[in-house]
Amino acid sequence: MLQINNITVVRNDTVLLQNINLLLPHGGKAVITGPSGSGKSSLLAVINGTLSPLAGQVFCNGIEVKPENLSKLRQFLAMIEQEPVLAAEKVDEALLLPFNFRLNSQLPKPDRKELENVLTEFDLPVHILNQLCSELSGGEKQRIAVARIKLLHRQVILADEATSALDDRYCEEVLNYLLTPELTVLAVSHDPRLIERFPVILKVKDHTLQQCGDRI
Amino acid sequence: MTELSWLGMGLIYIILIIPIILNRILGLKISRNLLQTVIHMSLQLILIGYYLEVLFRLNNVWLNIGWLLVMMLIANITTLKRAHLGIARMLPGQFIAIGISFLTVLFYFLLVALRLSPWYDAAYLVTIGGMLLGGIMRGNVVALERFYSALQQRNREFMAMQLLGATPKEACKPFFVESMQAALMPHLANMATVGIVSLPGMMTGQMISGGSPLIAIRYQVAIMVTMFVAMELSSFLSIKFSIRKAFDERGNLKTDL
Repeated sequence: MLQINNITVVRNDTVLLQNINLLLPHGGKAVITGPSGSGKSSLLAVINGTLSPLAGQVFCNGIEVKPENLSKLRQFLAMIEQEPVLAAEKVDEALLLPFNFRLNSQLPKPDRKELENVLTEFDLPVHILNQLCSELSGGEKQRIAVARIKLLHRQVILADEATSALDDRYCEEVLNYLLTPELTVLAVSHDPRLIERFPVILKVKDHTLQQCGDRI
Repeated sequence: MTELSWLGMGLIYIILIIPIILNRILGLKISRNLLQTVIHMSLQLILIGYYLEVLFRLNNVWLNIGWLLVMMLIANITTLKRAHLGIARMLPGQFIAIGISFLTVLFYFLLVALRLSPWYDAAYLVTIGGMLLGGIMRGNVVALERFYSALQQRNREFMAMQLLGATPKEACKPFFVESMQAALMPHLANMATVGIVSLPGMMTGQMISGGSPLIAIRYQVAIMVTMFVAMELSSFLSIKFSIRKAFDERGNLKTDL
């Protein structure tokens, strides 16, 4: 569940978004479109807790997004970026990286079999596990970043142009993941392949969010 | 023992004519800077020379400790300046970090290894202390500078780790390890070649003033080892203490470091 109440987003003294309200129920999916620089990514930064809003509140699965709640929040919230950062040397290290953090210590560390399964699901060859992250293509990196989030069983996903750099085939795999019924997803995208599959489409206009088409 | 007289030192300056001519031919505009720096260095050392004469002669415990503190303060400020970090914010933590590592190692050297008596003898306290502090300063500048510039340049990596559940401290770890490595490797390389490629200043000095090479090398081994220990400990503590002041409550690296 994601609830945004009267959020105002300011960056470098410019008001980007004003009085934003949004309610995404558990399993809900919405995509925000709009010109670049209109504050879409900043809104995601407010939701993930890295940017403080000028006004308003965000609740994620009932927990208010504020500095003292960030670790609680990140147990179920994840972010997919356009250019993912794997932050490891090799692919298997990248996939297992979050399991070294104390916050994720109650999650069982995936074994080799589990890693192979998740790779297959995203159409990645098993031998990629031993490859260097620096040798991967953009599409491979993105799918590994998504696979990593899948291994963490996060429930609320913020996706910032998650599919924009992907071929149709790989875009489909990432979309299939994002459209898993139990995931709550708020995406920011210009990608028509993503937009047409999302039930709720919101557009940034005059610093507010306007609903374009509700296909629920 | 052959002594270098004041006249002798004066004669050394004449040889500067070579770089000055070369600079002129090459159009290398550093001659003015070179002369200013040489004058600055000479005055600074002459003053220190007289100062140390007095310090050694009086050999007063409080004076020696006071001078040690002044050296530490200057080392701290220089480190923070060269690492481009805010002095007001970082100085207290840095002073403690350098203080712990410097004093522990210095007094281990002086009291356990050298069994110095009296323990505050300026000829040892100030000279060995100065060498150790110089090493600590070099190490800390590299460690802090690398750490914070890597965090700035690879900020997305740092933030991505936090979004995957890392605390700022956990997300710092790879940067921490890299910058420690960068700070310590030069000294390690130095240790491996010492004596073969170059004779360090302290050994040279001891031998010129008539000391036995065998005594000189014992000091050199002790200085090299203690310096490494002091450098590792101080760069570790310096980064550790600076981290507390470096991030906002949302885990972002502060922009006004």
